[in-house]
Amino acid sequence: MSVSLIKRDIILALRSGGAWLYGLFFFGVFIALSAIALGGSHELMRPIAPALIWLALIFSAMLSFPSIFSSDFDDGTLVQFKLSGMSLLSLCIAKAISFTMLSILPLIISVPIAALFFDLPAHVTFACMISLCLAAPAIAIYGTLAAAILAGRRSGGFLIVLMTTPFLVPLLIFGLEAVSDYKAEGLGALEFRVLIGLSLIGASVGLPAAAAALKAQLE
Amino acid sequence: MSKLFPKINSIAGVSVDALALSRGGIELFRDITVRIASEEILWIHGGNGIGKTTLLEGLCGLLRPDRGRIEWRREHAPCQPSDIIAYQPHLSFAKAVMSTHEELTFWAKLHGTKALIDSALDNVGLTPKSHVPCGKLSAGQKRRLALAKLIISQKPIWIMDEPTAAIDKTGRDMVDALIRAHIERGGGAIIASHNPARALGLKVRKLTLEAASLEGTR
Amino acid sequence: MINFLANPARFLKVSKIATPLMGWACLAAFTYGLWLALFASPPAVDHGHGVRIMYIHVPAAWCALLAYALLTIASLISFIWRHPLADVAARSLAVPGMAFTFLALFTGSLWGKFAWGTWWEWDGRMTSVLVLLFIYMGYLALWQVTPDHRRAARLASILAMIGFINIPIIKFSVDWWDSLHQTATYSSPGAPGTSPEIFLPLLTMALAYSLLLGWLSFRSVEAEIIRNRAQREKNAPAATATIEAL
Repeated sequence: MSVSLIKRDIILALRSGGAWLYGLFFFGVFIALSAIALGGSHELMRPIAPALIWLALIFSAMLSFPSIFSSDFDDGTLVQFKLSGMSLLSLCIAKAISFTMLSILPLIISVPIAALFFDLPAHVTFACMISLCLAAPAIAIYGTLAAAILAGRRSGGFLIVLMTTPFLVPLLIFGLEAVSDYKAEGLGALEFRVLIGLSLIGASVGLPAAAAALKAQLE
Repeated sequence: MSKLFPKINSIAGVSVDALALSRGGIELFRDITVRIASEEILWIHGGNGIGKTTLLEGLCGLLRPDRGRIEWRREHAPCQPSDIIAYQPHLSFAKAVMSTHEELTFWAKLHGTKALIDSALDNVGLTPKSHVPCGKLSAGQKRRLALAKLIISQKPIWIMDEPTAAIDKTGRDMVDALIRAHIERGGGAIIASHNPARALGLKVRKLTLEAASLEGTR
Repeated sequence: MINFLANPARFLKVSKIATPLMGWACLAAFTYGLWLALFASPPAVDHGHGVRIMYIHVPAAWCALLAYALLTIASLISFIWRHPLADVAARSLAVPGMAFTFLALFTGSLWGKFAWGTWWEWDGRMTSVLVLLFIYMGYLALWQVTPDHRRAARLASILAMIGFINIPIIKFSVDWWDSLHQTATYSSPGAPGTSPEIFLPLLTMALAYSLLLGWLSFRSVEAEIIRNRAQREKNAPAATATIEAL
C-alpha cells in the first residue's frame, strides 16, 4: 500500500511540469545570494559554507512542507484514504519517504556543486552530505507532522516555518558539529550517531503524532 | 453489469440516534433519528447551507457528533465506517495529471478490485476517455469518474452528494440505473440532492432538513 | 480535582472565590517581593545593584517553564478525555506563558548588557528560552488559524505534547553547542547561590509570578466559558428533520 502511494507521489511530481524542482532552484538561489552578500571571498566563505548549505537545505525543505498534504486535503483525497480503511500511520510514512526522495535527496545530490562555489575541500563536502543524509529522515518527519497539523490552512506557509523551527534546531546544531568534527574523527564522530538518534526519535514520536493530527483533521 | 454488481449477501446498515452535528462551532441540526439498511434509498433534501453535506460527512464518520450517536453495522455487529461506506463527495478527488484509467487503477488497487476497472469505465461511459488526463475532463465527466470509483470500492452503502449535478439527461438515466442495480443486489444508498426524490421503483424514503421555527426551540 | 473542575458551571463557582483570592495574594506577594528584591536585599559582591535584575528574570524563566508544563498536562487531558475545559485551560496558559518567556528574554538581555557588555549573548540558556518562545508562538498561531474549536484543540494538544518531548532534546543540544563555543566563562544568570538574603526575595517573587499565572489563566478560562455561553445563545436554532416514505 505504502509503495503504491510513494509511486503515485513520484509520478504526480514528475508530471507537475517541473514544480518539484523549485526547491532545488531555491537551494541554488540561496547559495548564490549568500555568496554575493558575503562579497564572494573564498577565505571568508569557506569556514561558514557548511552552515550556508545546511540553511539553504532547511529553508528549501520548509518551503516544500505545505505541499505534503495540501493537494490531497483540498481535493478530498485524504477523506477517501480514510474511507478506504488505509492506516493513517502508513500514509504518513509514505508521505515522509516521498518527501525525502523528491524534496531533500535532489538537494543533497547537488551539494558537491554548491561546494564548488565555495571552493570547499572534498572531505568537508562529503561530511556535509553524510550529515544531511542522516538528518533527512528527521527533517521530513517533522515536516510531515507540521503539514498534517496545518492541512487545509491557507496561511500555512509562514506558520509551518515557525512551527518546525524548534524541532530543527537540534538537527542544525549537531549536523554542523558533525561536519566540523569529521576531519579529526571521521565518520566515528559522536555527532553522526546523535543525528541517527534524532532521526529515530523523530520517527518514533513524530510519525504517530502526524497520524493523530491527520485523524483529528478527518473527524 | 452482473460482474460489477455481484450480490451482496451481508446486511449492512447505519443507524443514527438523536444526532446533532455542528460545523465551525455552530450547531446545524439536532434530533435526527433514522436507520438505513440494505435495499433502501434515503434521499436527503434541504436548502443551501442547512447541513446536507455535514450530515453526509457525519454518516461517513468524518465528523464527531455533538450529541447522539451514529452506529455502523455489518451482519448486526458494529464495524468501522470504512468497512461498509463508499462516499462520493462534491469534490472530484481526481489528480489533474493522471489519466482516467490510471486514477481508477490506483483506487482499485486500494480496494483490491483491479479486475473491475475496465467494465466500471465502460458503465459510466468513459471508455473513450480512458487515456485523457483527469484535468481535461468536463465537470460532468468528472462526476462520472467519481461514480466509477464508487462502483469499484464494492462497499454496500453508497453515500452520494449531488450525484447528478453537472450531468446531462442520458447521464442522469445512467446514474439512476446504477443506483437501481446497486440496490437490487442488496446495497443501500443515501443521496443528498436538490432534484426531487425519484422512487426508481424501490423502497425509498425522504429526509427533509428544515430550519426550526424560533418559537419552537426557545 | 480535575474531575471536580471539569464541569464549567462548577468551575465558575470555584473560580468566583479562587480568582480574586489569587489576584490579591499575587498583589501582596509582588509588593513584598519587590520591596525585598529592590530595597531590602544586599547588592551582590561582584555585580552590585545589577543583581536585582535577577529577581525579575529568574522567576520569569521558571514560570515560563511552569506554564509550559501545565499546558502540556492540560493538553494531555484534552487529548485523551476530550475535555473542553482542558482545551480552554491549555490555551489560557499559553498567553501568560509566552509573556513570561518574553520577559525572561528581555531581562536576560538587560543582564547581558550589564554583566557581559552585550545585549545578546548566544549562551545556552538564552538560546533555549528563545526556542521556547518560538514554540509558544507556533502554538498560539495554530489556535488562531484553525476556525473549528474542537479540531484546533486536538491539533494544538498534539503540537504541545510533541513540543514538550522535544524541549529536553533542544536544551541538551543547545547546552552542548554552547559548551563548545563559549570562549569566556560568564557568571551565568540563574545561579544565585544559597544565601538566604538572595533566596527569600527570589522565592517570594517566584510565588508572585505563579499566582499571577494562576490569576491570568483563571480569568481567561472564565471569559472563555462566558463567551461560549453567549455564542450558543446567539446562534440560530438548529434545523430538524422530517422523514417520510415515498
